[in-house]
Amino acid sequence: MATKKSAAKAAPRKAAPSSSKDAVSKDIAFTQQFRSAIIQKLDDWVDKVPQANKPLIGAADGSAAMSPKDIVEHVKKRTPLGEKVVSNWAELTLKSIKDTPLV
Amino acid sequence: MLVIFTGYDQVSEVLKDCALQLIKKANGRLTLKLGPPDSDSKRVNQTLMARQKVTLFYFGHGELPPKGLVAQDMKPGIYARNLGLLKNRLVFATSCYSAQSLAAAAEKHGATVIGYRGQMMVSFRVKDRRLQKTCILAAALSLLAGKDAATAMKAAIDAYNSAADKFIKGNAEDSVIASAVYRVNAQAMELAGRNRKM
Repeated sequence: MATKKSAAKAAPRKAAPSSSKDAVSKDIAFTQQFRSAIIQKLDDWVDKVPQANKPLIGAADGSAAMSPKDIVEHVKKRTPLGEKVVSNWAELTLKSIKDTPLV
Repeated sequence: MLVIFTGYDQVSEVLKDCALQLIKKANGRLTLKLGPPDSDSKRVNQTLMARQKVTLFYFGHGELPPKGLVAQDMKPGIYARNLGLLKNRLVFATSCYSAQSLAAAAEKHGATVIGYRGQMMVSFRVKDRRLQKTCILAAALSLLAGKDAATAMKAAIDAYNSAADKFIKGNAEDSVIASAVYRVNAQAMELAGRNRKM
């Protein structure tokens, strides 16, 4: 009896991690899609921008200024700055959605 | 108030513009301005020694500790060995890593430091000039208006975030600037030491 009860109790527990795993893998897939979309957008931007090698931004630490091409490389190589660009872009986009008026 | 600034590359020239704007708005409260070519490490040291406890506004490069805030001669102007010069002083340091390099001034010497943890980013776009200056100077102008350091820092964070929110709705380049400059700076701002007014 005790074994059957344990088996009955264990069944729903087994289902939960599986659906949780699905949700996690969907989240990962969504994040990858978001990253790919940003990289695609940045590639298109670099193709269209008149001066893709001209410095656009810099840091107040004496490091080299960055052009649109450099920024895209940071994102693709997943440097700390590139990762910040992606995560901030996602965060700001999400905030923009939340701030959109309902009517 | 002391305003010290440098100008030897594209980033420091942008920050120099901000320093000059702050000087214009100082309304007679300026004790001394020290800019290029005079703002070398020796003069920075002398100036701080001669004017103890006066509020300091610093605009320029900062390198990872222990290097500190960089002077016009590209040598450390304020760094681990002379942090005692910031004793009981309110410091607004617009430079990379200032929250880290000046942390000991707050911990050991009673300074109050508004700075940046990590990189402080700058946009070179002409269309950003005005808004960027407003963001960079938001805390400084808030201090000049009589607000305390915590309120001043919040004003700067709000200004950076508001600019990021605006630009994320624009084109790809605007979104990059929103994500890599304005939002990064909002995240980097930090206050160390006791809250105080000018």
